[in-house]
Amino acid sequence: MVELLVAMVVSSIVAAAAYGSYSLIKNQYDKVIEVSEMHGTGRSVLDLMSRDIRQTGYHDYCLGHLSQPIRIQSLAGALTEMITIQYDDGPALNNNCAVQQPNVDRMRISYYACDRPGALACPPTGPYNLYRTKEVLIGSTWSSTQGSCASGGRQAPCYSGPNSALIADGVDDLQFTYDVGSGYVVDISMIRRSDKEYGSTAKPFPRKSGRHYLDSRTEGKGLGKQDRYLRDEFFSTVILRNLAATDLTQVPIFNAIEETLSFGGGCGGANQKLYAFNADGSNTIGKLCCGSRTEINCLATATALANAFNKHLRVLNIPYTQGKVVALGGVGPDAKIQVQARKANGGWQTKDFFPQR
Amino acid sequence: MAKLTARGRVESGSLQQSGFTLIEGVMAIAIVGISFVAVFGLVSIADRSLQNTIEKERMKMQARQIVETVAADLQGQCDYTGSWVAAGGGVQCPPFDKKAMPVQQRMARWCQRMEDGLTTSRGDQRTVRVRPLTGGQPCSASNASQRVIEVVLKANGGRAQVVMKQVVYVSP
Repeated sequence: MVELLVAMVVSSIVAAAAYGSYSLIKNQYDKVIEVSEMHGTGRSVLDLMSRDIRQTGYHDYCLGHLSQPIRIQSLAGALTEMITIQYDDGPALNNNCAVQQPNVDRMRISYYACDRPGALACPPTGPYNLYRTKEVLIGSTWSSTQGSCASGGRQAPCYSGPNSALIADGVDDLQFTYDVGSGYVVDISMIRRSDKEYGSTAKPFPRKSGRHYLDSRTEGKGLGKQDRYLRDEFFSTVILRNLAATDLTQVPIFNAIEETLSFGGGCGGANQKLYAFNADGSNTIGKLCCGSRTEINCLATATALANAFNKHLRVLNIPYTQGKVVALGGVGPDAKIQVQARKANGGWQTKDFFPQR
Repeated sequence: MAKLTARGRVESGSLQQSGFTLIEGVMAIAIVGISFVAVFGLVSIADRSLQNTIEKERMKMQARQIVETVAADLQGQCDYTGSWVAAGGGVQCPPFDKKAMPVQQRMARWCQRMEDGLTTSRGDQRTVRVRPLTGGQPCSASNASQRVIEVVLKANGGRAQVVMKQVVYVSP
């Protein structure tokens, strides 16, 4: 009996150890699979977004300019953001507008993280679903009624109505930064979390203290403070080549950097540029700053501008020889900067810029 | 009266009881113990190996994202050349400054992201380099129509490493 008990105890210990080892390895293996899946899906989603965003501003010759090629807005309550872009989807340009081009669609596409499609107010914390909403503003098929495009030649407007698709789940945050000054680029940042919890202790995200690489609004949410989910941030940068090309050919204001700037006598000297900061710039709230690529000197202040501009328009580069700011002001939806650009054949052309509506 | 024989069996009158001697028991426990140590050693190696796999996966993603961003930012492309490894071998990230230019902000963010997710030790490398495809000149706005973006990341004392390169076409 004693031998039997001893044998059972030893066997139990062996079995427990074997199970413990198996469990440990399986947990790690599952973690590897999950990280791999997270990265794979995260990259696919970013690729999808990048492909659409890259098309921003492309417009068909006959359909004319886009009213608002890009817009970034915060979703109420959630601190995540929505990007809405417009472009024409169809064959190459045709400058004979008398000929119908039935295959061109003017698209408006939005990406946003929320708990349901089509909402502009979302819960304060995630995880959210990532949605892509597509609308055909002017379709290649005709109808005079919204949402009921019939077959036939294109006669605007033919509006399809919003059509939302779920792209990914487990999204904790989605942020966009639109930087006109450094060449019409959009930074995309998405934080995604695992389906299951791993490990035995709650870990913070970012994993180490004192890291400030996340967007300030994401940091403020304290992601992962009390949970055991795996998280990773996915980021990408997309150049809006169509918008850059548009400005280069029509209003050559933002096409060069490292040029002398003038803003009401604010900036001066070689390689000085004008910078506009707002709420995202913490201690630079409400300031217009002059500076070079390596050093920014905030001397001039303009509260109205700071209130008006959202964080996405961080840098303004305006070559003095080609353009100058003549007015700025307004708050919220009325914010604008008015600039005068030198036309190719002489004289000045006035244009209003509305940052990130 | 029971007595212990030379073979370890207990003899008690006419009844003989057979069992394990102390030495046999100790040896058996020692063998089981050694096998446990061996198994746990293997588990530990497997665990470390899986951890390295996760780390390498993360590094690959970081490198790819860095290359993507540098390739997209044509205006500031040449300014991305830099290394975060100090002379002593440790990694030193620049502080993230919200007033800095986008290029400096991105460089600081990338470094902090990697420090957050990777094991740091001596021998690590975190380098981004942008150079013309041909010639030995440093990258500048006017000297090349083709540039090479190179990202070299080494973590865990060099045991995990990722080297990623991409050629981009730019108008001089």
